[in-house]
Amino acid sequence: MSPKNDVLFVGIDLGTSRSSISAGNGQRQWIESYVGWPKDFIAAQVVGKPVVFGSDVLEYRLSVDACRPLQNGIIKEGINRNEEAVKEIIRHLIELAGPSAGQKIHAVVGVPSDSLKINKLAIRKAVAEFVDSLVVVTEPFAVAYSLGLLNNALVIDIGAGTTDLCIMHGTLPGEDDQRTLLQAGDYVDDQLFSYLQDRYPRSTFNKNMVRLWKEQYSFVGNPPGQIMVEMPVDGKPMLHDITADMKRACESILPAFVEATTQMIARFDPEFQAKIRKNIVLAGGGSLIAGIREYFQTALKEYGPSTVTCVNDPLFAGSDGALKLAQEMPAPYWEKL
Amino acid sequence: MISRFSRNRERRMKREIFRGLYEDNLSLLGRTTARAYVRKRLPRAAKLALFAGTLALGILFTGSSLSPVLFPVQQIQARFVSTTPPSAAPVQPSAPSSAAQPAGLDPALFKGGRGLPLSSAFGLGVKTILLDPGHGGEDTGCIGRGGTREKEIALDIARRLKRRLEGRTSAEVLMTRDTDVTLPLGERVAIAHAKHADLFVSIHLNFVPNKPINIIETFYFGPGTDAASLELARRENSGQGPGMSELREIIERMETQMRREESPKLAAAIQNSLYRNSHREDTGILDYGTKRGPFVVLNQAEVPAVLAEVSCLSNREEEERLGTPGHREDLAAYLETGILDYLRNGETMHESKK
Repeated sequence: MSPKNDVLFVGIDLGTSRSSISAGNGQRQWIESYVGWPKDFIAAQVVGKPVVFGSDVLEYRLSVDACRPLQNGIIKEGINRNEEAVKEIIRHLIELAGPSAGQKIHAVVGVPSDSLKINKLAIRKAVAEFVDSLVVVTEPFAVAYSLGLLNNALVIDIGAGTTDLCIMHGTLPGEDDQRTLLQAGDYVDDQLFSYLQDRYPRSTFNKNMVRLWKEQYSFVGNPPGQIMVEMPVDGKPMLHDITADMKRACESILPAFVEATTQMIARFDPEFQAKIRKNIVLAGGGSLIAGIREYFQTALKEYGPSTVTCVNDPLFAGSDGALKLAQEMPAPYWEKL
Repeated sequence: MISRFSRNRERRMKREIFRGLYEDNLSLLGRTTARAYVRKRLPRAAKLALFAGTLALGILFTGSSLSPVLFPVQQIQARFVSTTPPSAAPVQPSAPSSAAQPAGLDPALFKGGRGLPLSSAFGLGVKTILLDPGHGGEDTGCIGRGGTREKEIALDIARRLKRRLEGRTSAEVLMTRDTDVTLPLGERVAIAHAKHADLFVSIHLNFVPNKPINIIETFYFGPGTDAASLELARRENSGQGPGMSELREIIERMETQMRREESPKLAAAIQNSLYRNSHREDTGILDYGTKRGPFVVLNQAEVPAVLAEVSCLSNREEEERLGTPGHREDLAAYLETGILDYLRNGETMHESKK
């Protein structure tokens, strides 16, 4: 193996809902952040594996102890199973990246902006077992780096557990330059679930169904059309109109975003505020909500002209940025980490 | 030419970013770098000012500058000054309900029928619980020797407590802050008013310099009964409220308010749960009971309000435990149990349901 290929650089985005990896060998993979272990001997035979991930967990959910370990993007609850589940996710992602035998792994891992120091340490601990050198960065910073937005830009990464805002001003963003909100994809799911329970009390549905509807139909502003979904009523499948509830649930997170955005920009050097307003980027799964870019741009109009764009590939923007960082980080820094 | 200039500028920016990242990650690992965390130490002048301030508070709250004992010596030694190693002898935990009762206040005067809280007698329900993670933003609170910051732990415990309470009560559970922001005490109180909070629980961590002990104590508003409480109140108030000279007047206005009955009950329920459950896992933990303290945030929240010092960040072992999510979840569970005990009108369960 040539010295150049001694090391495989990887960027990992650990998310509440989905985790992705981008590797220097060209591999890009993602999984849903679920881990499941067969409940007993019979379940092990049904599942056929000692541990399952992502959509397999949902498929075998009656046979496995399922775990979604990253609440709000950080290792949740503190029970050993969750920590073990994070390790399994990391191990699985690195396997998916397909390192060659004997190849060292240098990883950059993205975590939410407001992660407590102790949670960053917990993530470090979970990852350290599988890599030779490791750097932890905040997710929106990784996104900004992947887009080359190093100066006068604001990245809003709308994930499942958290929405992370990060102002870039030519240097590593500090605590004041970053903010995490808990209004994100899961919050929309909860809102939609409760609205639908109120509106259709006799219909049966679960949070997973609600999440899938959101991923398929989410929008803000003018409805793109009538949204009809199937839910059983007394066991009989029936179509339900969820257009108004979807709009209400998706728009419920926006005031907090706009408030946080304007507050963060207002705290910045006044000379550069206009520049930042013209360089706002939406990332994460939430950037796929139809109409969200236009809503933002309109809401910010009263503060001055603003330009809001969405990243092209929200699923991999974080891990791609982390990989870019890993590849460009000078070697002496890696050696000591 | 222009593009070369711009390339150079980007290269410089990236160099700066890489160095920042490297130092940030080293400091996360607790290794020393140029920008690594340096524990803030109070300069000598600040220490003198602190001492003078505490002295002044002692005079204010003991009633007279001529009072022969401004600070009960045992209390000072117990909390702040002792440099002797902790006694190996087991410490008998105090009984919070009795120890907590401040001198000069007869609880019977404030009791409704059959010992129920007045709120129950009037059929008042708890619809909104407001959790207040202490400090935040620029105000880090106390910092452990390992770099753990009070503001972060308090926020994490509050988030966990919120999740737990939401699953166990029909009350709406809100937080004064759910991110790392600076929030003046006045704003916390304003949130309590604006949200029509029925209960206010402020979450903090204690810090006992020079003594490797782990203590739990819970405060409700009232004139402090010991110098240590006054010092703690000074620290938690951290200059954001009215001047200390106004506190006595404020306290006197409080005499007939409902929380004189309710807040001690809530404090006792929380303290009981925190201590008894924590003691199962750390037998060395000390029960400092419930106390009155002149905390601005408790004074101005016009509902039952307590400030719980749920743990002690100056204790090395405890700081390490606080670093594990499991321990923080446990503390949230103990707080939850205390609050639920109070809401059940004192049918104390104590055993937390983790």
